[in-house]
Amino acid sequence: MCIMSTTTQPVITYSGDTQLFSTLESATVQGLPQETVEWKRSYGRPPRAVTLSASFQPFKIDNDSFKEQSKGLKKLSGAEVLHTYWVECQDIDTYKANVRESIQTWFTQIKQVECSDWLIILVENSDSKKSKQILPRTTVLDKVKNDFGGKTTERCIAVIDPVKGETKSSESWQTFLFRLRQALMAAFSRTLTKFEETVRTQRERRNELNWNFCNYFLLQEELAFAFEMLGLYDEALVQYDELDALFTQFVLNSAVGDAPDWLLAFQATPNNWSGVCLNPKTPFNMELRQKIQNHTMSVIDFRNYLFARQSALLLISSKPAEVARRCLSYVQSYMYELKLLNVNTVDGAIPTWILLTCLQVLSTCQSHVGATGNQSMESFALLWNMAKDKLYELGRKCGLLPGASVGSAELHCVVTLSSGITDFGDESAVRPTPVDKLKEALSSSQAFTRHYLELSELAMGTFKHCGRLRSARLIGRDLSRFYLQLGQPQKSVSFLLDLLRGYQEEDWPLLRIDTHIELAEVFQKIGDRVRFIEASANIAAYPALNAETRMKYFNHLLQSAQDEFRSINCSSMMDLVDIRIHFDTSLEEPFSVLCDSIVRAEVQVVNHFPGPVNCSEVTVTVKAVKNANDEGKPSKAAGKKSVTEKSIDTKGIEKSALATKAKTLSSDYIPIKEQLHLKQDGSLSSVALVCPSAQQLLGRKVSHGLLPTELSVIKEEYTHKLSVKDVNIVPGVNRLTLQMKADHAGTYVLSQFVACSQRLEFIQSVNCPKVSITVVEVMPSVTFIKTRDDLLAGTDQEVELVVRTGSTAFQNEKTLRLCSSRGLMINLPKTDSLFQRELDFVLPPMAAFETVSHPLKIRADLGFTASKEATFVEHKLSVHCPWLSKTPPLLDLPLNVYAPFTVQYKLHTAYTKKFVNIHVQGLTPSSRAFEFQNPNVLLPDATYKNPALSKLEWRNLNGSSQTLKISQDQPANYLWELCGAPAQYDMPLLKAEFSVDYRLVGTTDWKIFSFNFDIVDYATLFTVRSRVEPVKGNDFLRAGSLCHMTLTVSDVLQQASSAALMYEVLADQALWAVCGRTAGVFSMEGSSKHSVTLDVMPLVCGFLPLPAVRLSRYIPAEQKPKETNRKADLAAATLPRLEPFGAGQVYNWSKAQQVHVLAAPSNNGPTSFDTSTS
Amino acid sequence: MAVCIGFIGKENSPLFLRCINQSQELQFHYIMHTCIDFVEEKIIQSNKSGSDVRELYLGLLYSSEEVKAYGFVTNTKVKIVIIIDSTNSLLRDNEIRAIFRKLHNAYTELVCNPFYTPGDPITSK
Repeated sequence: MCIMSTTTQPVITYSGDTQLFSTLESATVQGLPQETVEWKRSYGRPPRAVTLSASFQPFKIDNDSFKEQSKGLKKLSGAEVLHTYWVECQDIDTYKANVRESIQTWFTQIKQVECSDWLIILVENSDSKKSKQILPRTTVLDKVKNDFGGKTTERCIAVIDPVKGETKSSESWQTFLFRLRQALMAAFSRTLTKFEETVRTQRERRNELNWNFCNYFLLQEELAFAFEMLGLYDEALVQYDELDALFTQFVLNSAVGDAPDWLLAFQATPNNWSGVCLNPKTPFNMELRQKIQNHTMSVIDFRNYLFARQSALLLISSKPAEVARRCLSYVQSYMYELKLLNVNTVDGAIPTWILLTCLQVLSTCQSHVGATGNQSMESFALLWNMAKDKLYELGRKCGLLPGASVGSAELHCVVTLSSGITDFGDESAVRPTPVDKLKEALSSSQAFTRHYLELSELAMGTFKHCGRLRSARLIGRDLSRFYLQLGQPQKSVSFLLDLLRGYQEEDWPLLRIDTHIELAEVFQKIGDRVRFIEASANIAAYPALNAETRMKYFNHLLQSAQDEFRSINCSSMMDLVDIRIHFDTSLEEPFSVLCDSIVRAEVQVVNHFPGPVNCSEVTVTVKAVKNANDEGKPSKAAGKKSVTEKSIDTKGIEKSALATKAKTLSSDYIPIKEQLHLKQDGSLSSVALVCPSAQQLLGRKVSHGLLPTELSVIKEEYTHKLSVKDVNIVPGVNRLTLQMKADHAGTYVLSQFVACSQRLEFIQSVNCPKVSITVVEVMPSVTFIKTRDDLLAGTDQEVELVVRTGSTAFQNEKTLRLCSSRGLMINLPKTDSLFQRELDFVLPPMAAFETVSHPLKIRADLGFTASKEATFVEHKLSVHCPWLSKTPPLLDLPLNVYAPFTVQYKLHTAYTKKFVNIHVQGLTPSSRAFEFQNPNVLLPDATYKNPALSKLEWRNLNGSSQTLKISQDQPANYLWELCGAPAQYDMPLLKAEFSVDYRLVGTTDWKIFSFNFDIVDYATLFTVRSRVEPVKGNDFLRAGSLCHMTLTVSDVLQQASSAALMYEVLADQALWAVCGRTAGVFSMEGSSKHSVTLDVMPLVCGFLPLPAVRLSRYIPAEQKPKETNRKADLAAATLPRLEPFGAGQVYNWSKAQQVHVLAAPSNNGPTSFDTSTS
Repeated sequence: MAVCIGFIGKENSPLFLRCINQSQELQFHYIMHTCIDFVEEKIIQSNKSGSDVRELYLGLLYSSEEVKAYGFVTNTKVKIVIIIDSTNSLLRDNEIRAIFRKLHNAYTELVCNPFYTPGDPITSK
């Protein structure tokens, strides 16, 4: 920097009082660059704030330079841009005496010089001013301005000598500096404009014969220097870029036209290829610049100089990333230039130069760590990569590669190359410098290897760091080759596998196969037979490769197949393109076959290998699918359809790549539900199908990662396989028929395609789309068929036992054990066995789907009671098949047995006589009527042992030999009179049995039906007689008029019980109005008869039934009940209560009696009285 | 004239690759594949800048002593790469852009063909 700055600074001349100036010079030089000054620029360029510095020289007229400058500015650095005149003059008199004279002389002199910017500085002494008390009318400054200033009076400045050091003087000094800067800037700008003009004219002359690029380069570089001096590094860089472009254009043009003479000088053979020197301490390579001045430089020197300057400027602007970026294009364009210029170089010189340049740039840029971002890393990575490649090239040239032999030619090469490498003599540079490294690398094969690996590692690491994985992997490819040469093939495996993974993931077939070929070579060297086979298989199956290579690897494969066991994913080798399974279309269930049948599948396999493959077995493995829905569904056993309810087949959605009639598994079904929309009144408005998880299913599928990425496959476990043995799979399409025995019911899914050839297994998954087979097993079934309408209890009924074999044949005789529920007996009519609850049924051998039916007799008990509700009894018949392993061995079949009739018992009373009535109601239609005969009522013998009952006897009131027919429409009644019952309170309970012979009309056997019933209260205790009579004077009962009702209660037994009785008159309120009390309590004590008279009034006329009378036993409150031990009863005992009599205990004489009531009299006509009994 | 052109699908698998010199095909495959690195980098950069209208032309992707690769990416992330000889100074930026435009149009027409499934390798007769 310092070397340059003195030479490039603009020069300010000084004249006049040199003694005075020398005291002020240092202050001025230091003061100038302390503040920036705004530089307004021509041609619309934006103004910039710059720092100016200048050097001072005494003014002298140089005739030579004067002449030169008159032609135009040749040199910018060190140009005189401003002339100053320094004077100290106290008063006007002195000024007039001699100062004006000398200024005048100076003024005329500078007018002759090209650059005529000037400044007159009048140095004042503050003391002198103070000495003068009176202000002069005109000062010296005014005078000077007047004499020389003309229009530009600001060129004359007065300044107080700062040496005296007063406040006022420092202020005046700053003003002076400001003015000086302004003036200098203006002057420099003017000079620069002039110089730019010169440069431009020079450039316009570039096609002239005597024009030389070197001269022009030096000229324009002055501009760059000037800008650099001003701190405008970008502007300076522009100058170099322009020169760069100009030179490149010349070189390009020379390729198509004649090269100018000056360019020939650049074609000189370079003798130094040490690369670019980017030493920050010496940004200005004087040596090279000297060469340019002498026109003795080679293109390599020129380029080095140019790039070094550009880099220096970029580094000052702290853009090391840009340096690295430029370096790449620089190196590339440079090599191109060398080619165009036909520069003869020493073999290996260019790679050496590139290598050193790269390393130099890298080490320099990395030392500017502050600005290294990711972007610079990308350039760095490329530079490392290039350096690595060049080092490899050098290694090859010098015979340093592993396994290469070093001959004299290689040694010569090393010596020649080393001679062209020189260090830049920078002691402070970080050791080892790139030059040291290269020298070391070239010294021995081991050192070369180390350096090469180091560079590769750096390049790879940097690529990975900035995310360029593919580039990093590509370096891995170089490395793998290097390791292979080095004799360490195992190290290259990981690099190649990494590459392979990348190419497989992104599906680059050509690159994949290329990597496979390299891998095959490596595996062969390592002796990894297994993986060698896989690589060979991949190579052999790649159709775009030449036949020779494919056959070679195919033969490798076949050879290895004999002794190595290996499973290979064969989707690219033996491609399964089509599977067609022959389903049994006769079955109800889709895509199904019958159990125990042979499943056939036609398979199309495309063999991509160049030769035929002899397969010992080709199989498609089949896995059973565990379907939770199937369990606990016995309906499946009966061969019923087991499709999930309300699910709809959505085959159209799953596009099947294989042209199979394949059903997607239920797990792939889209759940769709039915939705009913109802109107307000409940009727159907619309029906919709709704998919509840539509959001989930219709969500956009990320297609990334769908590519098949499986490298290796594992043979999955399987339950069954479709297979064919010993086939020769020829190249191209092969059609095979595979077979499988379906021996178990269930749903199966195809899993993998496996082709076995010797010890190799080619495996391919066939899970997309899922192809499933349903093996249907129709289970044997047992049912009953009723011969007639309903089964009736109490009589023998015939049913038919039907046995169906299903899909499996019964080879041997099988025994079915039938068990009936309680109350049901069964019998096989053809055998002579009795009715029993368990019997064995022997089935003959049966073929599949055969049906055997056998009649079976059942007899159910008439085990019902008098209730009418239970008209049928549900019986069960269990079928026990112990030889059926899959289904539950016990099968319950329901049998509903209906009752043919019901029986009811009733006790009737006529005063003291008692009658037993048995009512039989038929339930069967008249076509199935029952016949009844020999009815009988019996009391058990024990009853007669009771002395009170010993005289009991039955009087049969039925026709003895009559046969009655009973059906739905025809009930029967039997009646007996119970005679000889003692008349007393507390009659013992009688247990009676009714029995009758019955048979179904049309059958021969009579069966006995018996019915048990209890007889209670069969003695009449009281009788009630009620009469309604008109009041005295009236003969007839008339509606609306009062009449008397007389109740008479008689004690039949005459036993005068002390019990109180209560009567209640229950009159129909529409017919009768009871006046007064309707109920009353009385006691029968002492008499056998008691009468009560009530006033009642009939409300309507006609025959009216008498109001009913209810008699109850009255228990007064004082009387304690028999069981007083319970506290709860105490409360009840304090209240009176009623106890009703049993049905047979009270006989009402007047029951159902009616009286005739006449209409209310319209006049006092004759009335009549009439009572009539019904 | 370009020495090689290539279409790379959005999953970075090659759709179409054709070069003048068949013997160099493998080498160009390697270069194309490496170019995906640069394309991805450029796409990330342009995403960062956040301009609404994305420039489809990516400019120079890669240059070596022998070849230069230029990139272009469609809105559906199909990449088009043109590789030209480094010494070819006739093809400037504008010419490259013009080639890309034509290739893009050709690709658009192909995608309009109902018999072509986007993402499948492109075959030409």
